[in-house]
Amino acid sequence: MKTFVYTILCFSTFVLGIKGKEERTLIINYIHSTHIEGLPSKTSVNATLISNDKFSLYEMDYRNNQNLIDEEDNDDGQTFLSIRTSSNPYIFKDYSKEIFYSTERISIKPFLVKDSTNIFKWNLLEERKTILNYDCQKAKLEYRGRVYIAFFTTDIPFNAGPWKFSGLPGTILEIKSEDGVFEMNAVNLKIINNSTDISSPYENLEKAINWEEFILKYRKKYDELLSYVDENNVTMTIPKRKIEVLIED
Amino acid sequence: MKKILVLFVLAFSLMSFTSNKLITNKSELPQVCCKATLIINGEPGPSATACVNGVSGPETINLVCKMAKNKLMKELTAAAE
Repeated sequence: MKTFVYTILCFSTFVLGIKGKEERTLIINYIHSTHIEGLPSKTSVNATLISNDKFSLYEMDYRNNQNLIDEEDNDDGQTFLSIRTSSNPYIFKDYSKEIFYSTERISIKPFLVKDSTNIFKWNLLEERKTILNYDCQKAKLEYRGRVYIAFFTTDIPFNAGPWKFSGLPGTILEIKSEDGVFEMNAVNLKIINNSTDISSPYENLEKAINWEEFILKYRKKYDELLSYVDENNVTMTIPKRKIEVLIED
Repeated sequence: MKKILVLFVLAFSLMSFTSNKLITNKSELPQVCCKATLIINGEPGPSATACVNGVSGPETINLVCKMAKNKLMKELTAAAE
């Protein structure tokens, strides 16, 4: 009888434990900043990560960014035009399939691209610091042309991260590239003890191309533009790198 | 006679120098270029570069930059359609 009660108790604890974890939702607000090489100014927007055990969604709020400068002229014969897309960009992660989805552009044309969540090869380091009252450990990563330093906490029971990043044994609260081009800093977070339905913002996920296919298409367009001249002798190019390296030198 | 010869040589040298200078100036006509870059959600997108030869000054730069921007706007319009 004693064994039976003990077994029932253990089973109930196990089931409730799993259920409890499934029903939790993590919401983190970040400041998402980019200052890519050759661009005149830094762009900072609010971003929100919402995550449960199965999915996560990271939304970068460019639509409501009041600080975006629409047009900037440099003295050295360069001019920049900034635009926002009609909807905010998202990164959608499906942890069960170990895939994340993002919108990538070739020139202006958008492509839905899928990639593996296992591409991040982290190196855990000893250094620690406190962010939003959570004890965080340092980790280092080389990813598509940049070196990143992240701080993650195991005190939050989610393996979540902003933008495309994941794969650490905890939640990433701060990450920045060593060259200062790209950074995300958590400004507040909450854990809700309710399940939240996180669904894909993208229709037709099955139409997504993988990163390698995307890079082949990008390279083709880059090469096409090298010999392009229009009727007014205007030439066009697309960049070799954005946040990620797209064309190796 | 000697003086005339010296003067002739000097005049010829001067002419040759001036002529060379003119040719050099002709090949150094300024080329004014402007590169317009589209930034989409904080990331660099396509760039268009327009150039004109033989004229310079702020009006020219404005004109060339307008040409480059117009090209980008055309691309944007085409993508939106």
